[in-house]
Amino acid sequence: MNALAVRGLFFALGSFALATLLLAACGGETSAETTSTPLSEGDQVVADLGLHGVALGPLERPDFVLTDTEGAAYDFRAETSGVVTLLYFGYTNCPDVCPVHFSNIAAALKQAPSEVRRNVTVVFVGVDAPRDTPQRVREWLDFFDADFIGLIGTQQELEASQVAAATPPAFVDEEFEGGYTVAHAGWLFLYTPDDLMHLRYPTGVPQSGWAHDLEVLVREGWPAK
Amino acid sequence: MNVAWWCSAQKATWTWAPQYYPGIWLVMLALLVGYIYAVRRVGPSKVALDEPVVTRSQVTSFGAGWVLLWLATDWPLGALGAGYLLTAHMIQYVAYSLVVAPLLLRGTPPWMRELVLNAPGLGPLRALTERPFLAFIAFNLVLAVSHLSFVSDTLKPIQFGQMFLDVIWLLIALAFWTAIGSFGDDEEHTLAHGKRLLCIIGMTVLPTIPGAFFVFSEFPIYTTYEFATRAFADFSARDDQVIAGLVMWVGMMPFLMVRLALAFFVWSQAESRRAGQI
Repeated sequence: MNALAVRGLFFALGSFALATLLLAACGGETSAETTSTPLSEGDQVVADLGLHGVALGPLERPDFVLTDTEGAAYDFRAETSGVVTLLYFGYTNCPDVCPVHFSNIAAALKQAPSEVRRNVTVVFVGVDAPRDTPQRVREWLDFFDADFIGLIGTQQELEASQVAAATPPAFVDEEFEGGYTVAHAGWLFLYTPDDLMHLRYPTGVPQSGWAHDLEVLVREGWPAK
Repeated sequence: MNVAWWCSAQKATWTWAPQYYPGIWLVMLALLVGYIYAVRRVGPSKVALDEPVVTRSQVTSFGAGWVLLWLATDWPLGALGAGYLLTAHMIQYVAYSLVVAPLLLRGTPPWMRELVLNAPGLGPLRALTERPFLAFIAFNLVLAVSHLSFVSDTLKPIQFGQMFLDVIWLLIALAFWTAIGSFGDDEEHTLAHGKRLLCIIGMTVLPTIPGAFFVFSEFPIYTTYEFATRAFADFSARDDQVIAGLVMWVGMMPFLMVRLALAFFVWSQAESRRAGQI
């Protein structure tokens, strides 16, 4: 065995480690550009608390009434006031974003301390009126967590609730596997005990992120000015 | 018809409708054609007239390794492992490392190994095959680095990234098993029996570390699998990770135990023969 081949071996092993790290670095998320613009108050809180949501100017907890899966009227603002609340407009036939969101939130809450679990309300609004029947919504949510609240309504009620939450109403999008998909907001809206929405969450928040954020917001709330 | 060069992590919902990966077919075809060409055209000039170019057992081993390599790389296992189920990936990894590589090596006659290892540019691989301890380190280094979450999550969505991982896993396993001896190679192999046993025992210990991380981690480690649509509705990302950890932790054991037993048996026979001669 000549020394050249041995040097080549070490070079190859080093190259593997380097190439793997470089490929990972090149393909990874680009870091935020350095900017001299000062952070907004919300962004500062997000940074200080290490939250995973996106800050936005606070919006009031929306005021709408829909029907829960037991058939009773559910006044969203009154029922959830003062509690950390996650609100999501989705549909039970969703092939991707909705089940991933709910699976991750449910998994995070299962790992969370009981104090956190007790003080978080998760509300799902089924925006696909023809297919999101009370029974279907209940079954779908029970798959993740039986404590999650499911709401349904007529097309008009659903649209009004989305407008109240300052999100564009969902609409039938395209054919999919013999049915159709619905274009809807992929964000989860989070309301803090001060009855304001300071944060919304995009797709892609990991279970560990949910666990961290829900615990921080239940225990500390949104910092007062 | 869904066609792509190589399996990679996709954002699309998992479907059991077949996907086609011509890159995988080309590599498999090249491997098969290369083997047949070497046996028919090159082999006769490399062995004595009264020796077979390749034995039936070697052809069977190579064939079995080739079929398993294809099954582990192509749809559905390869596609599931690339982006939907960590368990599928782990089955694929264990297959490459502990089944496919030893079978391919067992199916390769010594003259063919020499031919491949002397090919231009393969000097480093040859050097690795002649240094068992280094091969052992390299195998575990590749195992560790390629399973770091940011490496895996970045490479898996890229077709050539996943291809790179598949190739490197197979190559390093081939180098490792060449260095310490594949199943049934012990008698002709030059490595001291004790060193071989140490390497195999080491192999039973080191993969338990990442395996334990998978099993005991509170949350999913890889975003690739955490955010994938579920291939099986009742099988959560966390459950998937636990099973994958058990596959890595426990699933590798039977193969390594068989290899360890074989190595010990051959060593004991060699010692008995030596004692008889004395």
